[in-house]
Amino acid sequence: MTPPTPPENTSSKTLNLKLEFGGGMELLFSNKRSHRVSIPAHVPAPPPPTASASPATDRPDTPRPSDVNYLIHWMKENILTERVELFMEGDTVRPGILVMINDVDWELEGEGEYVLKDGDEVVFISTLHGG
Amino acid sequence: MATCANVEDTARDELMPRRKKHDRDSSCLRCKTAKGQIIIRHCVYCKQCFYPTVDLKFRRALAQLLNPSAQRKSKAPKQQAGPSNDAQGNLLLGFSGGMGSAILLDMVSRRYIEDADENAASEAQKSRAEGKRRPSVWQKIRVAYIEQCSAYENSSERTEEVRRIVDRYPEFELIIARLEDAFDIEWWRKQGLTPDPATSVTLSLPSFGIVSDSTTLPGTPIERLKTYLAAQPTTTAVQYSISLLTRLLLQHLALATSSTHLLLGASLTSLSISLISGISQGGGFNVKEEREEVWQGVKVCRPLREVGVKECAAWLWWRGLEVVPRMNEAYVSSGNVRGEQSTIQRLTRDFIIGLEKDFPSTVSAIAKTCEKLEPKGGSNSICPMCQRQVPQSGVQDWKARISIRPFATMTTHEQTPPASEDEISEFERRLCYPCHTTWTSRSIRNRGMDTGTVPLPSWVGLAFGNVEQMDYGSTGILTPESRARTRDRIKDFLLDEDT
Amino acid sequence: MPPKLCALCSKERAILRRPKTGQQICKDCFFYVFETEVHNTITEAKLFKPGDRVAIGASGGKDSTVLAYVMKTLNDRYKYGLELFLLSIDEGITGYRDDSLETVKRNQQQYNLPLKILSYHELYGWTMDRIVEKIGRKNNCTFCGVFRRQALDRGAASLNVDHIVTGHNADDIAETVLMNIMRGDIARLGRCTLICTQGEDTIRRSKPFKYAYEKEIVMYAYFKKLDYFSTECIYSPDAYRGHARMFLKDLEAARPSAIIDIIHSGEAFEVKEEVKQAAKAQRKTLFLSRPTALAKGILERCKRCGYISSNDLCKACVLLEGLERGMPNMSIKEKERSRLEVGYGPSDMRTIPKFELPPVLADAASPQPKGLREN
Repeated sequence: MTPPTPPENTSSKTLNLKLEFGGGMELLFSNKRSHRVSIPAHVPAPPPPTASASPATDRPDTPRPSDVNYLIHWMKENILTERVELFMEGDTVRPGILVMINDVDWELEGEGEYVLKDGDEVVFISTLHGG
Repeated sequence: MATCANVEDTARDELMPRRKKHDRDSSCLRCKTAKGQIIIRHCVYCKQCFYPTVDLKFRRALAQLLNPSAQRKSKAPKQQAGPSNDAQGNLLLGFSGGMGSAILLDMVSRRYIEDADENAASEAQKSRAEGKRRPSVWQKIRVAYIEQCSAYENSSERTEEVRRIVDRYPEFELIIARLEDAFDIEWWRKQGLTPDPATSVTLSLPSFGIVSDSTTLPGTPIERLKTYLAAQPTTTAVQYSISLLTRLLLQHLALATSSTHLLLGASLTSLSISLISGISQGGGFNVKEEREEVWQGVKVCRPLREVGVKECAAWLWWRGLEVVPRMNEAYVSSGNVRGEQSTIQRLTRDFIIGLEKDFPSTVSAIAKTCEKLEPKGGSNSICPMCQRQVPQSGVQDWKARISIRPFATMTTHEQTPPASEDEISEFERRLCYPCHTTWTSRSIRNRGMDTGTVPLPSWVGLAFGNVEQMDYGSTGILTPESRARTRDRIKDFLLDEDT
Repeated sequence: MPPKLCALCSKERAILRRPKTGQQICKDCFFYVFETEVHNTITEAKLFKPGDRVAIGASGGKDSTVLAYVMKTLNDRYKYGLELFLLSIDEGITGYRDDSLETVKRNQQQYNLPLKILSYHELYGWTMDRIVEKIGRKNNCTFCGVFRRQALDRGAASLNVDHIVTGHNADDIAETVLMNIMRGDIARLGRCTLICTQGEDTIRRSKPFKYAYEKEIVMYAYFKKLDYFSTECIYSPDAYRGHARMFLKDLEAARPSAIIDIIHSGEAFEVKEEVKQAAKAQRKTLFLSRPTALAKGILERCKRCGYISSNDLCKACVLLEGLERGMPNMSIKEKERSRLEVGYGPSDMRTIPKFELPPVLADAASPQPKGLREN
């Protein structure tokens, strides 16, 4: 989908996001259900080695705006406190974790490619604590 | 064989295409106006339309439970009571602290309590037309939580968190039991489940002899539970045992509280996982019971069995429900299980959830396929451990033929004397395939089966209590002499120190 | 530490741990239990009678190589009284089948068994290499599957045998049980654990290795120093089955009995009668054995090549015509719907030679009692 135009194109800006965890997901994030975080508005260069190959990496001159894929990596580096394997598989969240962006299933928003806006609320709900 | 091994099947593989996640249009499929908020198996719904869609699946499953004759044509054998509502007793809800059971509580409360309270509300009136007898289905609704922390290392008690969650539903009464209660004859007495004098039984391994002892079992209930779990030869078996103890404690609690129905919070995804996991542990005969069973007059049902895990997650979030998660726990295990992490249950879960991502219809295909199956051949007995049906055709004979072990007849080979029928104990003979496999199947890494005695859960005592009177023959109880002989006969495969 | 003694004979030093049971046993005991379990499988299912002519489907891979060896061994040891043949299908896959066929030819010498090789090229005029060239790798397994099935039956007919044994092992069957559950194929789920099935024609197909672990087959070949060719088909695709296979391997690692436990499960349930009835109403041949269907006139013969078919044209003729006419990617259903010409196709088009029942079965089909078969 077409990314909404970011407010301004300066790479030094940050985005303020609200992250919420449910279904036991909070156990991996200091057992806190709600986090307010600021992440870079653009993926800092060089991109993290594990970050998914994106067209932007070929053109280091145009900084890539931060998307959910980047957010996931950012969370892993900055706020994840336990067991990365319960949060990620490969470059994205592990199957069985429902992600919602502003109360909408991320599958309707382009999944990891959704470009984040200031004030977005992203929710991660684990389904792994079953029955 | 090569990948083309199952030649005839390959033509079908193209029927499993990866489909696009949703239709191009992302407005809600139901109201056609609101912006879609969630995709459920290729269908897009908004939040308002999501609730009734999920609710319908729950109601449908419940209706089937309460009124089976309406769903299944003709073939209702004994209970030709017609469309009458057979829920006259109490209701017991199993609560694990997990997502499914949190939703189960919410849905039952919404359906039978809230709606009944706000009778005037137009919403309720509307659904009243379809649901008619809603308010007074059950006399009393209880929630049972089985505390499992004694089965895990580094695990803490969760009863307070559970109490906090269940307290939100003042109409539900919470019952807390503990896994070790299965080994506590006093607990069984208190529930009125055990005749007096009660009999405890222990199992002698590897001979499978049953020793009944009407006086004492060594140790506290927790120690007995730990001995029991430590005797399991694989982590898969440990997990199997914990689930088994939990399920049977819940069933017995249902019995003790005069509940006609026991509802469990298994979602479609959990049901499919337990079906595949059960089949992978040899439980093909009990596929039907995995979905729904009647045990001693208690109907055990999983009304979320059509609700997928993603729907559960969204429901949980949007309804603001909480779970009591668990982490960083390792099973209680002693000498038997070494450096072995994966269980069949966990592997199956990861496999199915991973598959669901790329092939979203797999999960419901599994449940639907299994719904079309029934046990082959009849059954005239119940497994003393899991209390489910055992096929008439013996389990042990099948096993002996398929895998030759010293127990089986090695007729032309010297050394091992052919085992005669009566050397299989009555207990071993009556075990179902998965329970027997749980005790006998070892992994590559661990050493041989334990020797010594293992306390058994109290319901086995009910079945095998007064062994002498029940005339199971002399083989049921092993004298020290024959135990020594048996041990001697098989001591050579209680191998190894190596890895 | 002293050497570990064999768990079965207590005499020899244990040299291997049995994947199936976890027991540490010696080489001779391993051979003994492996062979005896196959023998038990055969006798329990009453697969053969003295005088049967049996073809071993031989690909040169580990399963069929060990199967040929064990079948010969058991036939001699227990006096089954079978006449054994090797039957190979040459799909025409360079770098795969051509090498493995060399192995089969060596096996023929070593075991002194007659060998028949039938190629796709001679039967259909197309090799798999050429088919893949034409249609790509997407549906090539469909072609290969349909073609191989018919080729095996035709090979069996030309050897005058009424029974083909194949090297399907316990892992294959467990995997198929899981696959059929996951994709809801109840008809196949019902029969995939059967040890013996009827093919498209009345030729029987059996799996004596039904309960033999793949790992043990490999071990057996290794310790017997059997000569086999190990590779996977270079065209093999199918991610879905690949997932199922990986999963099964993981289960086996967690608890080795899982493979046999899944097969037990598959044998312990069956499709509900009402589901069968409903399915039968849609497709008459479902759940019927081929001979029954044939006798009831539900199955007929392909009007072009004489092979058993539920439609006017058999699948192989339909696929072949698609290839010949340059429209190979139509599905079989679409082709059937498009009413291809029945009878012999256009004269410039290649067709499959006429199929004849093997004489043993032609005899059996006549009113004489089956025991009076002549050689």
